[in-house]
Amino acid sequence: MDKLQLQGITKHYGRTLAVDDVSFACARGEFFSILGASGAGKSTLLKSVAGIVQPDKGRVLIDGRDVTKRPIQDRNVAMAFENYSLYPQMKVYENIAFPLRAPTRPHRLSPEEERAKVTHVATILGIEPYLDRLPGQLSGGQRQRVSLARAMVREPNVFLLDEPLAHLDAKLKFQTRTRLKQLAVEIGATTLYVTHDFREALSLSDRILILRQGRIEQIGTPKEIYHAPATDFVAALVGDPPMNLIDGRVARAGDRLRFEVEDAPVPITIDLPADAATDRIGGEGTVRLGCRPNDLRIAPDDRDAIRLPIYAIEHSAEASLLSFSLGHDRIIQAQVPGRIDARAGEPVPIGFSADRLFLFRKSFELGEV
Amino acid sequence: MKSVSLHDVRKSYGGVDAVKGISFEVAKGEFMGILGPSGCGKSSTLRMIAGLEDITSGELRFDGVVVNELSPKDRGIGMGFENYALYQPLSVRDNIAFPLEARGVPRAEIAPRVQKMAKLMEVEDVLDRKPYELSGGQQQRVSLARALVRDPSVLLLDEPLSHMDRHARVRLRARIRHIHDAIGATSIYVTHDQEEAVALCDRVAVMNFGDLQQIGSVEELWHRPRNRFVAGFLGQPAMNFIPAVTVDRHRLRFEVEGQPTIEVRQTLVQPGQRVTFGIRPEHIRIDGDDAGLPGRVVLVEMEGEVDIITIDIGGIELKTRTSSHRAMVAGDPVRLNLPLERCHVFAGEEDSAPALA
Repeated sequence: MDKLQLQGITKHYGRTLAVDDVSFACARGEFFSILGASGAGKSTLLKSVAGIVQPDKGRVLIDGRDVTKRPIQDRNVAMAFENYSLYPQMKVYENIAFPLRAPTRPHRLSPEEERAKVTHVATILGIEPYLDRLPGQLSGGQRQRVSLARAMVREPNVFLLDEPLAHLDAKLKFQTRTRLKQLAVEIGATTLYVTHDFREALSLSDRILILRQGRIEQIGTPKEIYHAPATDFVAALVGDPPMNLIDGRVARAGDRLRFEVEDAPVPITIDLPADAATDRIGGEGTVRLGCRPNDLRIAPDDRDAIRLPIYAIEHSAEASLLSFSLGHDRIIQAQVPGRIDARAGEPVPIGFSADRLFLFRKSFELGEV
Repeated sequence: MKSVSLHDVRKSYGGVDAVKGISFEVAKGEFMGILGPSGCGKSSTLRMIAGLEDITSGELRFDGVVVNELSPKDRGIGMGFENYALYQPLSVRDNIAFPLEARGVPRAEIAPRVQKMAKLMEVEDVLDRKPYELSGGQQQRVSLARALVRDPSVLLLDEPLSHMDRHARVRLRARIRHIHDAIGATSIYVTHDQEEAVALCDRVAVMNFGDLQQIGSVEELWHRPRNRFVAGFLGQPAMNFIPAVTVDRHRLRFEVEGQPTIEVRQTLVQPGQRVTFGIRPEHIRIDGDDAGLPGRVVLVEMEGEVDIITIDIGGIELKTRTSSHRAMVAGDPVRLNLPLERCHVFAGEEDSAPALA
C-alpha cells in the first residue's frame, strides 16, 4: 500500500489558483521531491499533507486512511521549514528532544534512550558539539540543521521538509544534503521534500515531481527527469550548464527530417533521426530543439559539423565551456573535457549527436539573457 | 586600460586588520579573480582599488603610478555591481551616455560611443526602453556598458552574477568573458563562488582571514594548492582529506580501520609524522585492480551528468564522481586507485604547507 496519497488536490488563495488537481502517491520509505520555482504551489501541497492548509478539493491519505479533515496532531507527520522556529530559551539538546517528550507519544523514553536518539541524529547532521548551546548562539546554517534534527528525531509516518537547506552556503549545503540522505535511508522514512534546487532534487530523491504553476509537468526518477525530460520546461529547469534550447523549424527532406534555425549567422541545419519524436511535436513546423552542453562535440571529421566562431571560452580545471552566439540574443554552449586552447573568434566545428537531441513543443519564451 | 599592482596593501578598522598587507599585480588585459569566503577581505581589497576605502598602508599603483590619494572619479574605474544601479527614469541610451555627459564629453562624440558599446553588449534593440522593461541579464549588460563607455583604466566586478537565475548566470558569464576579450580590459572580479572564479579568470587570488593564501592560474591552484584551505576551497565536492602518518619517504599509512598503506611521491617530512593526505573526487578511480584500496559504496547522489559516489574506507568517507549513465548502488564493493601524480599531502599547523617534494 502507498504510504501517502494525494488525490485531486486543488487550492485557491482568493481568486489565484495555487494548486490545480494534483494527484500522486509515495511508496513506503520513498524519498519524493517536489521541484519547482517559487510560487509554483510546492509549499501548498506540503502544507495540505501536514494539515496546515485545507484544500478546496481532493483528499490526502496516509496509510490508506483519509486524513483530509483531521487536525495536524492526528497525522503523525514531522516538518522542518526553511525558517527554523526553534525555542530560543531551550538548549539545542532540549529543542531536538522536544518531540520525543510530547504527551501524545505512546511510551516515554528513558533518559538514556532519549540521549542516544538525540545524539545520533545530531552527530549525523554535524551539530553534536552544540547540544549545550542556545539557538541564539548558533549560525543560521547550524540552526537550520537543529530544526532538521528535531523533525527527524521522532519516527513519524511522513517527513515533510520545506527547503530545509536553503540558508546553507554551497559547501555546507552539499555536506548536509549527503547526511540528510543517509539519515533518510537509515530510518527508512517516507519523505516529501520541497525544493527549487534541481541538484537537491536529483541527488536526494527516488522520484521527483516537477510542478509548474500548480500543475504536474512530469513525475519520474532522477535519471528519467535528467535524461528524458518530457517538456522544454523540465529540460531548462534541470542541469548545469543548462540545456541548450534552440527554436527552429523541422522540415522533411526526402525521407529525412531536418531542423533549421532561422536568421543564424551561418546556416544551421541538423539531421534528425527519421523516427524523431514527431508525435510529440506534431511533425513538421516550429519546434524547440534541446541539447545538453555535454552532448555537443568538437568534431573536425564530422562533415555535418556546424562551424561557428567561439564567442567566449571558459575553463574549469577538468573541462572547457565554449559559448557560441547565434545572434538575436541566442547563445549555445558546449562543455568538452580537458583544456581547449582556442581563442575567442576562432571558428570551431561543432557536432550534434543525433541520439542526444530532444525535440519539444515550445511552451515558454526563452529569457533574453 | 592599465595594469594594477598592490604593494603590501593593508586595511585596518580600529586596529583590526581586514586586509593584512597583500601584494600582487594584475597585468594589462588580464582577468584576475579575488576569491574567498565572506569576511576574507576580498571586498575591502576591491574597495581600496576603487578608492571607496582608504588604504591604511602600502601602495596601490596603476601603470606604475601610485594612486593612493586619487579620488574614485580620478582613478577612472569602471564598476559592475551585484545590483545594477541603473537610473530608472532614464532610457537605456541615456544611462549609457551618462558618464560621458557628466564629464562634458562633446555631444557629437557621445552618440557613436554609446552605439559602439550597445552593439558590443547586444542591447542595440532596447536603447529606447527604460531599465524596468528589461530582463535582469539585459540590465546587467546595460550596467556594464555604462561602466565601460568612458574607457576606464580598470574594470572592477563585485559579484555581478549573484542575483541572476541559473540560466541567465551561465550565459552572462560568457558575455562578461567575451566583453573582456573584445576590449582588452584589465578586469578584477570578486566572488565567493569558486566555480565562477575558475571559469572566468586567467589567474585567481585566493584569500582567507585577510591574507593572500595563494595566487596563480586555475591549473596551479587545482593541481598544486599550497595549503589545505586552498585545496579544499576549490572544487565541488571538495578534495577528500584523510589523516595519515608517514611510514617512510614514499609511503603513508592511513589512520583508518585496517591502516592501509599507500604509495606517494617523495615526502618532505620525517617518518612517523602526522600529515593530511588529499585527493580530489575527480581523480579517484573506482575500477581499481585487486591491489587497489578496498571500499564500499555508501551513497549515490545524482547531480545530472555525474553521480557523486560516497565510499567508505575503514570508517572514513570519500567522495568520487562517475558518469550518471552507469548504475552504482549502495553496498557495491569497489577498489580504489589513487593515482600517484594526483595525490596531495599537507603538513604543519593547520596543514599550512605542502609536504610532497
